[in-house]
Amino acid sequence: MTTRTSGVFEEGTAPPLTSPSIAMPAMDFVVQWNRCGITADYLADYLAYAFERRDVARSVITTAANELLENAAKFSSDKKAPVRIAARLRGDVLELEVENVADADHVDALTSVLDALSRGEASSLFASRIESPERGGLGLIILARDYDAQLGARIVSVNGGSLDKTFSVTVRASIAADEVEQR
Amino acid sequence: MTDYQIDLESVPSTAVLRGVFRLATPEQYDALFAPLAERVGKAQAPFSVDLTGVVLMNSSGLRALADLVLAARRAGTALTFLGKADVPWQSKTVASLKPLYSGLSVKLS
Repeated sequence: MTTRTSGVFEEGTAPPLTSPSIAMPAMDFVVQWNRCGITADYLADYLAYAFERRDVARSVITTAANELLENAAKFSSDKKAPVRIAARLRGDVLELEVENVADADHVDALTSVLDALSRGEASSLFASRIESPERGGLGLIILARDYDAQLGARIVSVNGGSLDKTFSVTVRASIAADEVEQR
Repeated sequence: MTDYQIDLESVPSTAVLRGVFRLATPEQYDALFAPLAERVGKAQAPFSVDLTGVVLMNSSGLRALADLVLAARRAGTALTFLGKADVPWQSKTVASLKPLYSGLSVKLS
């Protein structure tokens, strides 16, 4: 089993005071897409109480959580495996983390985007994706560009020796509290 | 459960969108936005899209809005997005579509 990281993925030091998490089989989200939004809304409603500008915080948190969940549901290579989302309030930073099982093609595409975002290329990526006939892949770019989210992933090889490699992928978006409240 | 609505009839030269837009795929947005895209592509007069009643929109929906801007650019139709300044995805992402087309206005109330 090998582990690597892409983009900005550092382990936090202070234990979070609040860290709700939810896990469901990817199939649940695929067969009823609204469950992505329902789950994101729940986390946002719960966490928004930690912020003074609650309505704004709710909008930003559910927007970010929904993008991460939709990506995880779409790109889960094993629809029976769980998609797990966790939120952590670490002082002045909100972390949203989504874990799912993915194949090598998705991992390659994801790490390419995360590495580009960590180099500060969000605006140029957004512009090129919008003009491209290939659609999709905007969610993480929007989080980085419009909410200044620090994005990264931890990628663990689940069956490193086999031909059909699969990976446990944990994508994290870290958003400053001031961005969550749009101050 | 449908939690979104597109009204093309109530306000002249305006599409009024309401609700939560979190469709699963770009293709689903293509189907939903097809009548709207057709009007934008054929409009002789300026056309508006009122987003003030839209609570949330996922990135596939924002891509669909960008596609409307590109359709307006091809047709030379002046296009206006109406939104709210205190709704982050509108004030940030929708407003950021302006560089795509000089004929696009974004008015945030």
